[in-house]
Amino acid sequence: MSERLVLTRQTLVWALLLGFTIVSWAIGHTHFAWISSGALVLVLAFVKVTFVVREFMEVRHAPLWLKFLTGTWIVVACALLVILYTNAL
Amino acid sequence: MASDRKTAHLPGEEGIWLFVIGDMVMFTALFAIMLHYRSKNLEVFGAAHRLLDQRLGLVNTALMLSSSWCVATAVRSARTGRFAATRALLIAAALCGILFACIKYIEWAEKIKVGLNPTTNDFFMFYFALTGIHLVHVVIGTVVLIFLSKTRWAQGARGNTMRNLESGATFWHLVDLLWIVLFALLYLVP
Repeated sequence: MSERLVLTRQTLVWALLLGFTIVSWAIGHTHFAWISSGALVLVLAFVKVTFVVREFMEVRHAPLWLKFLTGTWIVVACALLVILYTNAL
Repeated sequence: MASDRKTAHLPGEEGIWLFVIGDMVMFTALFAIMLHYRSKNLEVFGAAHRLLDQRLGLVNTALMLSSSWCVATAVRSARTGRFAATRALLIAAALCGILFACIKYIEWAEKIKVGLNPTTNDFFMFYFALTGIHLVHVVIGTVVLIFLSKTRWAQGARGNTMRNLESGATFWHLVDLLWIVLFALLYLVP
């Protein structure tokens, strides 16, 4: 019983999200010649958001209109914030 | 099992999703306004950002992600009739919410003690405003989780009882995802 509750897809997603958090923190302290580390951190934040929306909020099983709305928000918000951030550099 | 479901399922009420999308759009507008101000005060934002305690931000991120896992697993356990596990997981998630709020209080108190407040500069105005609005979400979400943990599952995981749990879970995951973006914007981006 406990195995089926703990060793699940959600647990894998949780571990991935924690891993992405550490990677984001490391990127924030690194300088790259080819890309803005801040932009990379923002994109990674929206990758994490995508996991939360699809897996924890169960949007991957939701009706198409909700997949479309949440997907559109993720793409538009990520692009807007990355553009505003990099334009100021 | 949730991952085996073949037909589409809307978790929770339609109304909660309307609120979630509206909140996402509102926060995006606030984030965009903050970045606009940042573009006009790069040096001020850069120096002020370095005054934040990233360790506390990291701990709060781990708490948010873990509480979301608890809530997602609570929904899953309710669907399979394991209501004791559902109750325990919801209480664990609410405890994460309470710890998050305590750490936020410590963080704010430290800032205010050294003279950093919303009037210090634009960065700290956004820092206190955005984390403050988010904290209101955390408090509401925590109260909802405690309320949901008291659910009587006499009818099993059906109808309104299950829908209420899914709606509360959806709201909590919104609180989590808003923090993910806030943490990146305020604490991590150089």
